[in-house]
Amino acid sequence: MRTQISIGCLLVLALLMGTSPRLLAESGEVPLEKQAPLPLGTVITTQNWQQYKDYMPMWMQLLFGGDYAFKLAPNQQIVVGPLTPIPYPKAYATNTEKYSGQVGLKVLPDGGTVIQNYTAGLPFPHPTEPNIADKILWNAWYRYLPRVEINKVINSFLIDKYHKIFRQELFNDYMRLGHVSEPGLPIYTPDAPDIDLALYLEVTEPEQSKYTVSLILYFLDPQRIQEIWSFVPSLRRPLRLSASARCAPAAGSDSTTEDQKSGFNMLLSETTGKLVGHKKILTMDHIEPSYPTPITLLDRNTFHLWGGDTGVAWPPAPAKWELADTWVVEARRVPEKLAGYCYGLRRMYVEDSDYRVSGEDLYDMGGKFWKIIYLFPRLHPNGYGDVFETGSGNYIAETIDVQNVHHSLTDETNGTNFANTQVDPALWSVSRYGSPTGLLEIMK
Amino acid sequence: MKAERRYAVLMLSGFLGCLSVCIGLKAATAADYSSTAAQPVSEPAGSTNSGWWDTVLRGGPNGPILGNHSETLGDFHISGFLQNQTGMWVNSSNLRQFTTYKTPHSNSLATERNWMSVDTNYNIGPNSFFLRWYGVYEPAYPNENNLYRAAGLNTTGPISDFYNQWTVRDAWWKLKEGPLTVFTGRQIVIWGESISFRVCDVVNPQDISYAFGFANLEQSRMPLWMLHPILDLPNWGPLASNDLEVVFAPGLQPLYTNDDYPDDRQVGRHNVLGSVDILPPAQGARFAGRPYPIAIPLQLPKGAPLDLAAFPQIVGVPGPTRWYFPPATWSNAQEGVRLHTFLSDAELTSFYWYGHQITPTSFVSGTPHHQFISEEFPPLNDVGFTGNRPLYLPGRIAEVLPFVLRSELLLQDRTPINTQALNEASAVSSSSTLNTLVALDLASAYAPWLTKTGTLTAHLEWNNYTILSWSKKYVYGGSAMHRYHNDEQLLLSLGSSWLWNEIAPTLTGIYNPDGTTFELFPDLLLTPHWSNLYTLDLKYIGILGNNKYGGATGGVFKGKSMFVMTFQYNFNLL
Repeated sequence: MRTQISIGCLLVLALLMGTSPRLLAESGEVPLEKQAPLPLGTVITTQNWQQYKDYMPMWMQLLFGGDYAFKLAPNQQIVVGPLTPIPYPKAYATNTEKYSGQVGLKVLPDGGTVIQNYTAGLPFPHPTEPNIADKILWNAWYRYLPRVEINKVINSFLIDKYHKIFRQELFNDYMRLGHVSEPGLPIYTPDAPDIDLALYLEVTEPEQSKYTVSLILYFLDPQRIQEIWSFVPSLRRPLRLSASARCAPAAGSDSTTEDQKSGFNMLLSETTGKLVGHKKILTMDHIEPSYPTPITLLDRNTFHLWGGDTGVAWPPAPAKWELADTWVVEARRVPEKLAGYCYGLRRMYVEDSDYRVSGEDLYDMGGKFWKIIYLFPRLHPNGYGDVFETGSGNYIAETIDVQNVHHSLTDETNGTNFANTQVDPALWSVSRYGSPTGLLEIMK
Repeated sequence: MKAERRYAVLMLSGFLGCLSVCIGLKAATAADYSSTAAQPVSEPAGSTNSGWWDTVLRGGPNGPILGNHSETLGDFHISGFLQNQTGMWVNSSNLRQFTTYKTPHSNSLATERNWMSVDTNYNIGPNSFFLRWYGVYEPAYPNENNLYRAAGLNTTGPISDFYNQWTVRDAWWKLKEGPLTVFTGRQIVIWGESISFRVCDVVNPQDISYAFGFANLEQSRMPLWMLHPILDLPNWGPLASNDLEVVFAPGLQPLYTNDDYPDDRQVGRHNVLGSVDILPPAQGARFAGRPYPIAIPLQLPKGAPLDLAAFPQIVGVPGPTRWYFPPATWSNAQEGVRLHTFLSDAELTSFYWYGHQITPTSFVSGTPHHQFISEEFPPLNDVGFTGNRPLYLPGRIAEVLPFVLRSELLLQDRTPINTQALNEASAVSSSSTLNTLVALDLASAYAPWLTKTGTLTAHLEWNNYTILSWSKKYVYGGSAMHRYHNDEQLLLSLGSSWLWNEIAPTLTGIYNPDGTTFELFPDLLLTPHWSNLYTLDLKYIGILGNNKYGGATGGVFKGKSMFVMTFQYNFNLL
């Protein structure tokens, strides 16, 4: 029996080494203007997907193609629906109009870029050359995020190749403290004059990790390295971490520090972008049922409907896919800082309507395909009369490590996610959730 | 007291029974979920796994056992764990060295601690409530039970019940109003930076009766009843995230469990026992150090120098030891104030703490021929500073060496120190002391050469304890071992993980040059991937060294090396 297993393992290994890796290829993307729209109601399945691969990001082709252990089940499919335009929240649109004209981009000697004179709103509403790809990346970085966004319960499922599940439950309180675009709120929060973003994430289950907190602080100066703190229950105090280790896997999941912030957390001053396409891409922007009906993968029927037990998470009917105009950008770390880094290439699919990153292909330093990241959101009220889908929550997301055959499935749609005025005033506290000082209040 | 214990056992049994029933009921509903979730990719759902077996393997349902009642109960949660810790002495014959009574060892069982911890969290508006309940049961250890008989005069009762607890550990109410946050109740306050050494960690006493404190820092901490406000202060110049923290802990610190010392030192003093360390219950107890063999000059051969005895000031045979716990008076209240700030990316704190010693100092009291040892907890004044900041190395090595620098400094005024100077009739002198720590962390480094699914973490800590007085007569408490004016300790801890934290080894060692002493505790934490409900931890605690009476080095524990296995089952009730 053991011999059989060993032979099986060797065969699998040989297959993985010999056939699966997709080496970095020339983009070969079909430009937007040459793409014919797909008829509404088109059904794309694991049988006919090749006809539509020009509309698919690479990660989607891999899931349909079934090259890797994690793939779509035969009943998982795409049904094409109409495109629903999503306007920017009004204050964000106003700030875009007001401030974008003064924004500039400085190219650093090593090839990275730094945004200049940015105040609020979308920095480059109509990105053009030179450095169009970098401008798109900065747009994605400063896409609309609410001033406060929380998820009281995040269900995180860490799933191995045998589909065994390790579940974690988390709470997050994410705050945009600088470059704020909300009616009646200052652009720079007085309590945190030099901070851009504060991402507070607390483990609530399992018990052995309960009260563990990660706090990442982003500064207004985009070249200043982020600060990472962790509250360690066994020490009963915050432990300082170093943000220079960008590739460290986070909390047993398949994500690294570079994949935080909804999948894109590269230091842009150390990143170069290359535009490889602007095309219509099949995108899921409206999972069903719509907000505020909870979608919780903790419920076994929902988990099954989404394919969590059979393959990878995929939105079930009646959710419809859209053909969204999408920038395809390849982001790489600047050559001077490649040593010790993990990703050789990050291909990003950025919707050009609101600069949400709908999915990513990640390659290792050897050029082998490594990970897939994708997010399926739904529209969410921002508490000031507008809706958005670009936040750090309100989606079902997958990070799939195809090399190590493991994936992390996250559900932030279980009815406990709120933004801005919907959020309890206590959770707006910068000193508690946006500062290392607040970590002193845990467990005491 | 006995009735109370019976009641506690009944309650514990009842709670465990209810828990089992709840798990059973929920298991029925969770079975289908678990079974489908456990399918191999190629198999259709429901074809192989039986639901009940998968649920047993998982240890219970996903999510709260009693369901989610957030809508009706608000932000109210109950969770906890059951833990069994079984430890075996590596060589139980060595236990004979740890009493002067030569009590025979009975078996190799070092620890059999059964422990339940339940956390209750309730948040409503600006108010938060936290309660952590502890229930601990340890069986009678035969070798410890023999101690009271062998000890003769000094002990009157058995130790069999000493370790059992039925108690509220943390219990506090937090009120947040604007920039002010006030914690009221029983709580733990950590002001230090160290992983293993207590430098600026001055507020809470420790329970070092049931495990080695150096191997178990968090669980050994004892909460204090206190009023604890934190006031956010505005930014000031380059100083950001400023706050002022105050601690007021009254002298009244009741403790009614885990304090049944066989010499009855606690009788009538339960109202203040919580303000000092819980010590091993008697000489020769499982986690007590090796006693120094010559306490008084009478034990010396004729003509031998007096300073071979721990207390050369004692003439004749001393009477029974007396204990003087800090009384519950206003003047014995402990107070402290701490300022916290950020200067660029450096976090800095400074504090002042007025309190009393939490470990006893042995004084010689009385007049010659009528002397006795009095164990006392003298007052103290501490001034402390801490700081930490990441060290961003230039260019390429920053990615692989993400360093963080930490440091602590504590100046204590008039630390009581045992002395052999004959002109000090009390055998205690005092000196200012300086306790410092410098530490370098390798914080979650990306190390693909070691692990593709985890990180590499390392901590290096250097601790220095300096006695500022020039006196050469100082000794370690209760021994005639001359005390170093500069005591150094070095800690190195290396940790990593594989398979997404399923296998997480940590190797920690503390080195002290005195006696070339090493305390080593390699540890392996195993977590099944299919469940977050249980873990298994395997640990070895080894003590090596040449100075078996080295109190500050851990050498006094030489011979008490052990293997410890800890199984933990987690539950989420609500």
